[in-house]
Amino acid sequence: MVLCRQWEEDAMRPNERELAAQHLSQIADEIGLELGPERLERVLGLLESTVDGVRATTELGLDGREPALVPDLGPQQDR
Amino acid sequence: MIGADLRFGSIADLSERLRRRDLSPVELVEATLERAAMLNPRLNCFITLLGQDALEAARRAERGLARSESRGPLHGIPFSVKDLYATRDVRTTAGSKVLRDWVPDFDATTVAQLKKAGAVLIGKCNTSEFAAGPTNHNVHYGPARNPWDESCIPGGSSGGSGAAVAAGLGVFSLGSDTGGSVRIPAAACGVVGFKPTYGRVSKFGVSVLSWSLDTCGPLTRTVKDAAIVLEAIAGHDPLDPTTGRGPTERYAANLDQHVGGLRIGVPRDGFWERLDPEVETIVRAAIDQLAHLGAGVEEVSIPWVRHAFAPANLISWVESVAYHAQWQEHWASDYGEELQQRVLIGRAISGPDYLLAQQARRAIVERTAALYERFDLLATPTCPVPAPPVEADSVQVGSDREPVRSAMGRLCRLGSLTGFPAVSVPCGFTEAGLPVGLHLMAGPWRESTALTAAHAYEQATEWHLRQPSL
Repeated sequence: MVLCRQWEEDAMRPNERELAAQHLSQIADEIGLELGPERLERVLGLLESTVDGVRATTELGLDGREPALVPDLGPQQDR
Repeated sequence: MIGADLRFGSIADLSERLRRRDLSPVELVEATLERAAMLNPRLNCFITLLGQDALEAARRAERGLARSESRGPLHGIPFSVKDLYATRDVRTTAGSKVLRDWVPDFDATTVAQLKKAGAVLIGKCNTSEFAAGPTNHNVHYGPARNPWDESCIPGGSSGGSGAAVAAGLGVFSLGSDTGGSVRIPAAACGVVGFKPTYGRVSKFGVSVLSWSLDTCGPLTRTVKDAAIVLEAIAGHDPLDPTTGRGPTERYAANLDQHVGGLRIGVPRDGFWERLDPEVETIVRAAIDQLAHLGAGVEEVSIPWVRHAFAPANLISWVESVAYHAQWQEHWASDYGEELQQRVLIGRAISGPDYLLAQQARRAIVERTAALYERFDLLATPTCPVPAPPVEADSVQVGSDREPVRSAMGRLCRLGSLTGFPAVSVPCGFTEAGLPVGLHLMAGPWRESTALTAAHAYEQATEWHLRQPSL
């Protein structure tokens, strides 16, 4: 099974950022968290930089790799 | 009043005195509780201090010794655990309001193992709420404080554990490490912090921050003590399917091996660029000391280390959402803002991005494991800065300012994401008197390699003998 997603580009796209902002506001409402514009921008920035950082890992050559849902630490470990 | 030799005694020393019966477990535990009651209002390192229960356990330990039935080196030794560990009949809050009244009817596996080995639980240590955060700020129970400078943080999230051990309030403590939460407070508080390989120690009964990153490990005053505690808690646990079935070792007995011939890699990338100059000088001197002891030291390039930070954060945030879903719906308002924000971001992350982070983890594990064919250890600073003030949001790192939260944890992320073992050992003090930690990372299941090198360094220096004035 190939789970690798081929990103067209590394960075979060502008429309994706807008959707993420809407999504964050909606979730904040659900969990009762006050999100003023300044805080929303800060949280969005953190989300964006992290997602961008994760997408940049495709540089490592991830095509076809299975995700390591727990660390695969080699033959000494018989889980 | 408890003497300095008892306050800051090691497991090895105190155990010998207990065995010879020139010290009793009751004396030791009573004196520790008295000192803890005196200092906790200043350091806030315990959320719950045990009284009669601890003394009763000490009396049982004493009766055992009177019958010459020692259970080993931990028999009669007072210890604490981060308040993430479930403790039978003792409130377990996880540093949260959500669990403020939870009294488990069972012990976490590691707590049960330590009690079986005769150790005496004296308290539950302060932590960031549900272990989320490297500072030990806690809106519900207040911040724990650093015994070397009470205006500074002890690091986190196992900050109460680090502060308690550094202050001589119990001989050792168990913490948990997801993104550096054992190693960071160890470095900030001038004690030893050991993160075992993911799966070496049971997590059963320990509140989850991130299933696939969480590890449990000791904070101690010496490396030998860390080895003794690890020996008591390592191994497969049927209650934790992520634990390995491979053999454990006699970690303490193996410590005195010569480090001559050990190959130590000093990563060029990612660890030295943004660093407090004093920390850099101190840690480089510590690495020189290891070379002086006979280790081969060589610079190495690890270009992929820059890719470790984002996947480690993203995985941890998403897995937190899954864990907290059970409470979020009804008790959302009981969460502190920091954890709320974590859950908020975690929920906004897509499934494909989470799986991409896990794919990146596999690639980083493979590359890093291959590095350990050339090297036995990687040596770096544990934290880029000494402990910042409690009220600081950002900290000066060389010529830049950086948020405290990102600065404290970033040098620990490679070990967290790979699941490989690592130790932080005290290696000096800044001019302001704050401790600095040397970070030694070993290959998977090579706990002994990290402990042996850290022990050799410790025995060649005297940093671990310094005590805070309290």
